[in-house]
Amino acid sequence: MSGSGASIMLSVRDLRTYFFTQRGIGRAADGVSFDLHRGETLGLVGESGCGKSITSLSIIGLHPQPASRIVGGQIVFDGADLIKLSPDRLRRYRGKRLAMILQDPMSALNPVFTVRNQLSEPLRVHQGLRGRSLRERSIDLLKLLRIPAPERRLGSFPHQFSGGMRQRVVGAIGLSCSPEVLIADEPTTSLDVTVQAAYLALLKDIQRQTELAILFITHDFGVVARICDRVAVMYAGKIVETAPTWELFDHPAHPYAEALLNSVPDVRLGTKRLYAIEGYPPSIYDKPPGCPFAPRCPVVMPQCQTDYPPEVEVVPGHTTSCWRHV
Amino acid sequence: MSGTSNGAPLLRVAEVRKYFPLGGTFPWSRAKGYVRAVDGVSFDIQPHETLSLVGESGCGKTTTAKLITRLEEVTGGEIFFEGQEVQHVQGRALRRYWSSVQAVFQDPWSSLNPRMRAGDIIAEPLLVNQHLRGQAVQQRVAELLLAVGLEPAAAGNFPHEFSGGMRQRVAIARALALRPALIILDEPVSALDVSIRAQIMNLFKDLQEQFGMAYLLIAHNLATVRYLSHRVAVMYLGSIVESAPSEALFTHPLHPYTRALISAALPIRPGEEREEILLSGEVPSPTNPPAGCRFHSRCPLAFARCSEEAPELRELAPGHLAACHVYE
Repeated sequence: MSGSGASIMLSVRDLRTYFFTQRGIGRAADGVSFDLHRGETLGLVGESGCGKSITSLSIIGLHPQPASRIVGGQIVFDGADLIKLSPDRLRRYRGKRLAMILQDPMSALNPVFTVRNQLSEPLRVHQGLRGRSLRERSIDLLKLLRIPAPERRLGSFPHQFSGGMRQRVVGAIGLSCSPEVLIADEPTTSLDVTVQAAYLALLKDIQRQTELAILFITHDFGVVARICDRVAVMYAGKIVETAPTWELFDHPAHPYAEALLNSVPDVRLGTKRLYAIEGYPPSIYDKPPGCPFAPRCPVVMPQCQTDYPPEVEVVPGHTTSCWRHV
Repeated sequence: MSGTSNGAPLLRVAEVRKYFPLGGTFPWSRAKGYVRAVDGVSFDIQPHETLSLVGESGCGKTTTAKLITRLEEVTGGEIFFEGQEVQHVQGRALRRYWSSVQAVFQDPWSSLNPRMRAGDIIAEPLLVNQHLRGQAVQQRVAELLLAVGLEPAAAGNFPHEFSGGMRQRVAIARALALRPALIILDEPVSALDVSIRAQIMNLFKDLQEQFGMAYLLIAHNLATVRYLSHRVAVMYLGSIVESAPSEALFTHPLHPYTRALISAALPIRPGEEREEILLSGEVPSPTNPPAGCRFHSRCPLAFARCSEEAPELRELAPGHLAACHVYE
């Protein structure tokens, strides 16, 4: 569904978001580039500290400030570079055309306001709805997310919902102004497996109806296999491989992506010994020169220690940064 | 551990119940109801075996583990370790029991004291229980660190100087220190990154081969469970709905809840063909569990009898038990 003809909704080019702290400069997002097309789900996969969350927060202008700063790159949405927009202009996009769903629904909702209050805020601010139409639109949204008895639930507080229902409320707020791009930062990580399966199916359904473009941030290849059309794998602040989902699973090109796929246990394969990547990812404050994966790479070459590999296209639509493929 | 005769279970849990009282502002007020966290759970663990308890949050798997480690007192039922009943042991006997049952917890950020060095964390059980001193302690700590894949020099580091995976290794070394016969692993890899998870899961397997202890693994990730366990018990709302040898459970699940769980486990490859069972709703509250079979409110196969009568756990194939009216 991601074919090259599909229109690009969001284009991130060489994004660099650095942390400036007493420990020095932390290069959290260190030259991230990708395109997100209409109606597709792009998975941004990586381990904690690889820079996937800071990338998504930078897009929407919510990276922690003043600790971190976007020091370079472009984030192009509808012809405008979001980095250059004033906070006022950015606010007109955020929550309206670009929306975000966060990982933990308990801390994403305000515990002292009702769901009605929190759900109607973006509708009032961005769409100017009032009175009956505001109430009706809120109920419609809860229905869209399949929350039972929406008329009654509107007056409830977040603590009166279960985890899965709470995440649906967060989803309803995210989708309230019919955004064109949705950034979902590990929205199912805190959910139980059966609830997670239902949530992913629901998201897929809504996407089919609305042609929504979703940037799905996750560390779980199972989630990727279930809902993503394309995947970008991140390591130490850089995207090391981008490919259609099935292509990545069948022919991973980067040794990190390959190792990561091999280290995931399979419910169906049972007890075959797992492949484990030795060592640990580097600190963002102290990255090795050259390829950051070189110290852990099973097929490392002398070149890898000194120079970062350029991005090459292995087959059309499948790119990677690895000296083995140059 | 060597005390168990052939075939005798290392640990036997019989009809164990744990009810938490609800309501009442003061400790002496009367309870307004009970949360039935664990309600009639029975299982055995053999020496050198890994038994897994699987289920979603709130199903009572962690409470069961707390009852076994005596961090909570049972409301009813009995627990036997090497043939000895353990709920009422006190003093020295309780200490001895605690030395043979150890635990590794989910979050290595909160299970290690941030003010103690790794070496002291691992040495503490040796000082308290085995009264080792001086050089002997240092040597044991070094051995344990090597066994879990860390450098002996790591003994001088504080927890914050380690990454998550290394911290979990320290927690494992501490659990191993007293050579326990049973280690309870409560979600031991779910807080770790994917590439680190595989390292730690392999480590658990190697250690079991090397030292021969039994594991009680508590997890919600079925792939982890399948990789590590010999037998699996599936819990739902405080009771076991199915238990079987790992292979049988994953290839021929019987209970509808187990089937839904396996179907909800994420695919390893895109476009994989699978039975799609989406459960409606969420786990009901254990304060007021549904009458009859507790799963009937979400079960795709439920019929009239399910809401009236709770099914018994019955052996449907050798070693394979399930509690479901469909099989009667």
